[in-house]
Amino acid sequence: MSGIRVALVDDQALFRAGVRMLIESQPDLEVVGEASDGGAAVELARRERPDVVLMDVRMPVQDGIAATEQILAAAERDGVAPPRILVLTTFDLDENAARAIRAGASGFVLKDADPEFLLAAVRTVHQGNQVIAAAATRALFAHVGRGSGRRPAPAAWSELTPREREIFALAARGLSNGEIAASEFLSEATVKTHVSRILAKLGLRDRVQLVVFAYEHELPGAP
Amino acid sequence: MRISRAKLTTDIVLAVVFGFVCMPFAVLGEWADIVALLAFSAALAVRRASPAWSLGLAWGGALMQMLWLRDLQLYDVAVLGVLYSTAAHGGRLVKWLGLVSAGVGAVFATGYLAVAKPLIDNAGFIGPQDTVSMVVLTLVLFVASIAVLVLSWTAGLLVRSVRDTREVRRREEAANRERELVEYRYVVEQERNRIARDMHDVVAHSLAVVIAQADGARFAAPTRPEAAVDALGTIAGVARGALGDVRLLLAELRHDEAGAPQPVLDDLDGLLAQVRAAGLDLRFSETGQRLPLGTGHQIAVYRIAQEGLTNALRHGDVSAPVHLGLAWDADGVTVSLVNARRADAAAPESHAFRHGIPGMRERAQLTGGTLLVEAGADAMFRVTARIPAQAGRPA
Repeated sequence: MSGIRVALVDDQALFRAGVRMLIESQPDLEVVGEASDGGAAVELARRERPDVVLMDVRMPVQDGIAATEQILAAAERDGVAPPRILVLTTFDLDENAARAIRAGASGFVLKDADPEFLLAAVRTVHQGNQVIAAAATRALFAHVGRGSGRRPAPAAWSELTPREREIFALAARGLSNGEIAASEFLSEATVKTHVSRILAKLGLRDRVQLVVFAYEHELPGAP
Repeated sequence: MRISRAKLTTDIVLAVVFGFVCMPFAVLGEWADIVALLAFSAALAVRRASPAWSLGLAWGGALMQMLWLRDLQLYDVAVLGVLYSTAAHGGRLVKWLGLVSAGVGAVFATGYLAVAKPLIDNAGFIGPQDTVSMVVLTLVLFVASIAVLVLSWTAGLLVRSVRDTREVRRREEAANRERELVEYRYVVEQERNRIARDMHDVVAHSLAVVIAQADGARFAAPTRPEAAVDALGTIAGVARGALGDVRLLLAELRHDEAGAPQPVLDDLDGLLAQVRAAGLDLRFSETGQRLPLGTGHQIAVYRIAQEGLTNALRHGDVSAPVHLGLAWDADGVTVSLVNARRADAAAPESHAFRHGIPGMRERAQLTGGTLLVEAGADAMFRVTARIPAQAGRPA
């Protein structure tokens, strides 16, 4: 079966059991393991190579932020494709969720989100061509980063072509490749090429980092 | 110096009264006496509002009196009040000018009354025997006047230092009250944070489980109906546990709301009854002779017992007995609490398990005591607090 391999990390066994039932009810999703703290999560990711990790941020022993960092670092060291990490949080303006995203998580989902949304989020981050809850992510960073002000754009920003800046702006709003292609009259493959070139030029890991980048920097010439 | 309207009014009224009392004598004299009286009265009127002006006016009146060769009169008493005020109310400069004025004034008064005035009045009729008596008279006059003048200045200084001391003490008290208020606010803030944390631990965690289980069961039901039945059982269990915790939390909140005085040792029985009512098999033992403990120490004992029992209720095995002991000796009391850990309880390092322990430790340390927490390998959890008896103030 070539389903999406999901790992569950949360310190509450009963919570994991509930999410497990939800995920296993889907034919294209599969739970490959559970962990109850950050350390066990790193070990699980190394052993099972899941596609997506659902990660609680607040856990005993080692929290989800540190675990996120270590899982991504270990994947890079081993030269394998890193799993996408989805952060689970109780509060929509949780500073820890923001720190997990800075550490490389691909997005966050509230623990009380609709199950349909959670399932869609798992599939979306797995595909990697769209950001989940872009507006909520911006709101999260607006809340966390309040008062810090925006930083000037780094030099890499000027290397983007005007076309790339247009696509950057759309992607930063959370649009998928398909949606960007439709609004810009381009083929989806072209959009995908553009997005990967933008991410490479700016040194960003994925599209959620792009949303955060757009929020945190003064970007002259951005449409 | 700024003074209140009431003080100024008092000074003016007293000065006017003084003026009226002295007026008959002044009227019997010359017009210069009346002018001097007015100057002295004015000096008294502003003695607190402006000691500098007061001193100046008094000097004016006295010089006028001497230049016009007037006798000592009742209104000269005002000088004493003015000197007193320079010491009691004047600034640094005016205060010392007051002392200088007392000395110089005594010299002037003596010179004027004992030497200048008789000479002018008797126009050079002085025999040798008169000289001796004049010297004696001069000395006596000088000593008397300087004593009276400096004495009134000193009296002012004394009053001033008493007032300053009282002011310092009042400020200290105000600062103490302020500090107590800040400490109180801090405690309230801590308490609020603790309640918020409890709310999160209890309510948010449980609800997250309920949601996950319910959603999971709904999605799993078509293929695995038995999973749904299990999930319903789990949901009921989790919700029931959470409701119990919420009840406990609300009980604490309501306790605070009543604004009840801080609990002391005698309130311990109530606490034990409350915990037993919540379903805990509590075995309480007390050994030794109770010592008189300060209120702070009593609160510490109560709160440590309360926090420990709450933890036992929340995270311990409720079916096993919980032992609470107070062992008194000559130096203080040892509070010990032993309960069995629940098999499925969180690991000893987890925050849920460690919950409240920093607060208990802080309470013990505030009394000069210690707190020891052991999660033994025998699945028992032990909290031992030592509260010393000395350094406690009587309630």
